[in-house]
Amino acid sequence: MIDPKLVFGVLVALGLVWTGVWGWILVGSQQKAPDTEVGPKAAALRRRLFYLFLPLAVVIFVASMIWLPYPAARAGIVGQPQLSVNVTAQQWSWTLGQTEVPSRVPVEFVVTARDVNHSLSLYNPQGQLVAQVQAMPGYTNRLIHVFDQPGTYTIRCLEFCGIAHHDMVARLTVK
Amino acid sequence: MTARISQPANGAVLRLALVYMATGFVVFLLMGLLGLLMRLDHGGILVLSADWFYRIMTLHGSGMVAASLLAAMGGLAAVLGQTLRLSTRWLATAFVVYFLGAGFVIIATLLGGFGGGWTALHQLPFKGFTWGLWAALAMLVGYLFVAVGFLIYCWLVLYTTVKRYGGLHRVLAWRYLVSGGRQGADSLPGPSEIAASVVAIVGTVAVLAGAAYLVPLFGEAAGLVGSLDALVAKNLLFLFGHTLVNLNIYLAAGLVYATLPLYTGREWKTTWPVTLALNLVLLLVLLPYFHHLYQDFVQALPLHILGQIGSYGVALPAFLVTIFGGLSMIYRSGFRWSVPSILMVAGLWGWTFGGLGALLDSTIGINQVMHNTLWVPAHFHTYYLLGALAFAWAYLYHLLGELSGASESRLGSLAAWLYGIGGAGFILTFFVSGAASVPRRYAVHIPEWQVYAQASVPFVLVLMLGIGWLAVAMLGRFAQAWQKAGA
Repeated sequence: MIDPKLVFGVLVALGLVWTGVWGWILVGSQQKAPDTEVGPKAAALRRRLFYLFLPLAVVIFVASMIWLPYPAARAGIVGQPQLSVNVTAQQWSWTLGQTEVPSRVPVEFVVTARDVNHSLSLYNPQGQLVAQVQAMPGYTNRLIHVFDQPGTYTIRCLEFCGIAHHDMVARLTVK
Repeated sequence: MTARISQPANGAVLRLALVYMATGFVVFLLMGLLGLLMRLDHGGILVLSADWFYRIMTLHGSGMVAASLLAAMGGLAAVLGQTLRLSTRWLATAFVVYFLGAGFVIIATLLGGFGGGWTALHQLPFKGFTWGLWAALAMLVGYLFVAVGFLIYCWLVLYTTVKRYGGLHRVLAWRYLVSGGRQGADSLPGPSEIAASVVAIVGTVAVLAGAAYLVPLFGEAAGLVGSLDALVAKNLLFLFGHTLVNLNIYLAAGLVYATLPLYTGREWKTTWPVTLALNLVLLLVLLPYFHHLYQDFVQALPLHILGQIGSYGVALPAFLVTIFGGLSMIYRSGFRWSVPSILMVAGLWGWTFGGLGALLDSTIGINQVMHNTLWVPAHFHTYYLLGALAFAWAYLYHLLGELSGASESRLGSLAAWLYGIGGAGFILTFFVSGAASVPRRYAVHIPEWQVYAQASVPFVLVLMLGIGWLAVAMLGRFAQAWQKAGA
């Protein structure tokens, strides 16, 4: 699974590059060059950027498919689930088929909701979100997850469901 | 061909545009104060009851979206009024209908206790427990009015551009586009006119999706039909809501095309890349909404994939044409520093930075650990505050200055810098919170999370100082500008 802090690092790095580009543009903005000089250069650079960004986007897109969280894709990577846990969400509590699961084996959460949309979200003992799936009335979503460390995980609702949304918390023990 | 930027719009259109923008600014101020209350609550500095927090959250979200869109609609009406004859009657009608909608939302939240979030995701409006059916209906009626008001505006824009250029194909410059720029260059619309028409077309589709969402809900409330399918409801809601929010930046981009040339001395031409980009937006802007449903695993896989393709795809024309175009306009232009131009720079920086945050989150694997954390408000606050809204306030400030003839002191520019710096610090703390997996839409933050909101407060105060300063400066120019506009 992807570490959110790494994602933040990527954003900061790109943000710094972007701010640097602006710094360079603005420092030189008080000088004056004719449009006939800047225009063709900008058009050429735009073309180069297009030929850089388009394949880059395709490569990132294809590479990112390895992180697809959907059951068939996850089972193909981590293996078929060894255990299934039924989860029903309702305003404002969780009903879990079991509250103890093993670590380092694929666990499948079979998730639905009784009333409104909710979201089953798993927070590891360090408080980091490691996986989530929507709990929807009338539908069953399947989330396959491998807990990489034992400890007490926190289940939170991440789809706004009314006045006690923030209190919709449960614990899951990973052995 | 360029938009004729120096010719003023006719007086009545200009006055209406000022009403749109000034109303948008006042609503923005009030909603901003509600936002501050929420961040104080998150920081444990001020404790709100959960009931009031969610009511405020609902009003803040819906009010900000409405204010930003209204300001951009007004600004673009003033820009279009320079080259087109917009009907003042229909422009006024759109405003009244739109504003009626805002009234219903205020009644629903403040009087009716509705706190179901600005998205009002089905079934929650009817199963909120802390508000009654009438409050839910008032909220939905409010949305209906806002949608109809926007639709009237869209059709007015489309009718006017099509009439002026003799057909939709000419407004969208298809002959010029298909011929690779070799034919049809003599009668091209300006970039703002094409952008406005693209928004009008996509806006119509979005409003139709909104109607398809709202009408069954009214039917359900009346006991005429059963409950709308949860997955269908989400698709319709986000096709409406996400697209509407997304269109806001394209309206605001029309203001950039019109304003930046005045501070750089360069023309923003309708070039072939501009026509290609805006025509691509026509299709691509409808696809990214699927990224709101990545965690609905029962949605068909191709639609998830389409969401990621659309999210990546729509970024390319926006960046390579409008944002890159803005950079190349400023580069060695003898750039004139003033409040509007600083806000434009802040807007182009923020549109990209917020867009990067959005791009990362639109990657399905990343969304798995970011969705519905504060990363999401981080990116859309950037997109709004340091994007669409910055462009709208830049144009409003510029217009008031131009009409009133007021000169600007060097010190006055500080207001725009405070806006940019305060805004950047504020959104950065949101991004940090998202990286720390802090959930969004929580009335109560556990102690470990409170530090992020506490860190945001000084930046919010700097931001508010900047906004207050801008407000005072604009208020001082308004009366004279109003008179001049009507003259």
